[in-house]
Amino acid sequence: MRDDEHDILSLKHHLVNWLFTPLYLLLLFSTVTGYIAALKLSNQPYDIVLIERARLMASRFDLAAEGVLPRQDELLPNGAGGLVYSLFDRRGQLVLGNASLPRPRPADWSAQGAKLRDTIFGGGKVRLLTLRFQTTRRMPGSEFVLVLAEPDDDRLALGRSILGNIVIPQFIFILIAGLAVWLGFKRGFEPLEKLRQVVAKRRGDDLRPLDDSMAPGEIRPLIQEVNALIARLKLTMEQQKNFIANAAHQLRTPFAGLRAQAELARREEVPPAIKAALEGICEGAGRCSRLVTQLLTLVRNEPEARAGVAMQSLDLHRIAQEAAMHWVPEAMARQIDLGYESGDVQLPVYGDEHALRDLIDNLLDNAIRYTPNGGHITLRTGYERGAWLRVEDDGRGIPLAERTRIFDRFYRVSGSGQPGSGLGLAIVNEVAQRHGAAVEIEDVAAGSGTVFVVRFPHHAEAV
Amino acid sequence: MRILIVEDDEVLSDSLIRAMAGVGYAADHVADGEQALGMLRDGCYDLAILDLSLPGMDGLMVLRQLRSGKRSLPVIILTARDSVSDRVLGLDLGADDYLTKPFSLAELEARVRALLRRGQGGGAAMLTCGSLEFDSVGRRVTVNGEPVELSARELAVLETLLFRLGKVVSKDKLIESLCAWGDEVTPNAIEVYMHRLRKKLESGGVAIRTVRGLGYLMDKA
Repeated sequence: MRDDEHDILSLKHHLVNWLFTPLYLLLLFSTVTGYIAALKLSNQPYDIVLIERARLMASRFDLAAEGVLPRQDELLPNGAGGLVYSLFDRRGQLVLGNASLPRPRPADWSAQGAKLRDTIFGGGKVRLLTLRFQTTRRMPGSEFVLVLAEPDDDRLALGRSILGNIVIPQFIFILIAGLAVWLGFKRGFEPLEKLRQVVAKRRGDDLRPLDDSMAPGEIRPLIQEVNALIARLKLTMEQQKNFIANAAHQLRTPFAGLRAQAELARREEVPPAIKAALEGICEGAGRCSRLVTQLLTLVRNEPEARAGVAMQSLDLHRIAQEAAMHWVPEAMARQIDLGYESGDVQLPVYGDEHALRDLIDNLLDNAIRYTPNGGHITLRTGYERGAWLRVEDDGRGIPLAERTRIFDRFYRVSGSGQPGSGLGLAIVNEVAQRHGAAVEIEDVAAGSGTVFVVRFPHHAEAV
Repeated sequence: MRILIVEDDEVLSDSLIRAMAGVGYAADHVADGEQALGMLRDGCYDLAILDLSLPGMDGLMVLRQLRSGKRSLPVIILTARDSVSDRVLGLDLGADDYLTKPFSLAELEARVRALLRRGQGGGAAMLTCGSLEFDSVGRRVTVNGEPVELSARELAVLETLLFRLGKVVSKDKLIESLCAWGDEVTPNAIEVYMHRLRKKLESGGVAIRTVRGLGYLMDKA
């Protein structure tokens, strides 16, 4: 069903059907008419010769000696050449020649000059000529009819040769025409194919209008309509994102109030059970706050939000160092040894500084969260066909089965027991993608930590 | 000390008033921007905690108007917006500090304290950590009240660390702080000073921690 629909809708099928069907019907028609014309053409010269020979035979018969019937070599001095003849007098009596030839019909006795027709004789097709004539010397004034049969073989051979000369070039012309049409199709559909590839390669969040400058005029209006749809879609998505951002903003103040109230209450002298409840509230409020912050960071790093932010030459080493310094107190509070190692002093990257800082912050935050107290975390940077950074920890690691999913929004490694927002790595991924960087989880033995590697594309310009 | 809290969220402003009262400041509360501007212009406040999104006149406008009236009153901005441009704008308009919601009360209290101290003109003359006291004017250091002998360079390094207490100070920053002495200071030399400082301050309940690849961090032990 699908295929049928596809065929009906295919422009190519339409064009092929409507171009090639008439083209081949035309070939058939011209072959038939060509054949008929060839036969007609090939008959004419042979007929003229045949009539001439008949007239000669008639006059030779008239001139032959009185009282004796002329011999065949007297009538046809140049040889018969396959000709069969017979001569009848006015009474219908065979005077000489082959008796098995058809007798002249009554019409032949009244005809003026030679009459020609096709018939079968001696098991083959022949051209049959009848010629009525009057003698002037031998029995002057008496009427005779000469019947002359010539086999069709020669004229058919000529007809076939004429036909071949017409049909074969015609067939070649049509082949060439078909090839030209096919090439035309290919060229004509090329822009469509290019457009298809462009659309196929598009990221889901790339809502720039399609370039219609290369499209054929016929489909340009379609592209313009698609672009108008994209624009409407973009507006809807922007409204939705603004809504999320606004909602997150609006949540911040109540969370701040909740957290502050809980902190105040915790300072009071209260029974242990209430103290524990207050701790829980504080922690919950903290988690909510973090989630809101992460949500805003994610929204902020989406391509549309950063569209107006110019990328520039930056030094990854400096950004990484600042980020690591920022996280040291947090790591120390959990007796985690957070260190930074860099082989190169300058690591040129082309990017958006705040976004890169978000990326490193989230990788470090993630590492601190999932590394047990007393563990080690190292941030490393270097350059190899482009700047790279790695965050290594000696926590429990990420099970192989979950590695592909951890970049999904709100996905959290099962059984980690950590109050993460599930957005950190989604932010990392978002920023990396926008910078053309690849994020990998390096393969380390199970349970012996996690290594995240971010590889940036080559950027030569030093900061 | 009198503080004006300009915040339209009741739950949050209530906790702010109580927190300020808890650390010994008198706090008034107003939820409206225009009203806040009038009260601040009257001039009986030592500090303002200003929310940016307010009904009527928004916080940035209040700040702009206040600063155009040449009032040098310390202002801490509280906001739900955390984009960098907002932050820069707030600081450009003359805010003294900036906290993004939600924040910890302890953090707010510390910043209020720091701003009020600066407002009194005292600056941070006395830097303390544990039982270590550093008199940045008299260039004297005591541990448990006992004076400790430090060289000028050791003093400079210690001062840099104390200024950024609890935060990482890079080796480059430490080298910079010693540049006043004219001669070249190598990273190795910094390690030597750290070693000496740790030894001399051992009993003060302070720790100078080495942070791999980044620098040093001073902290209570």
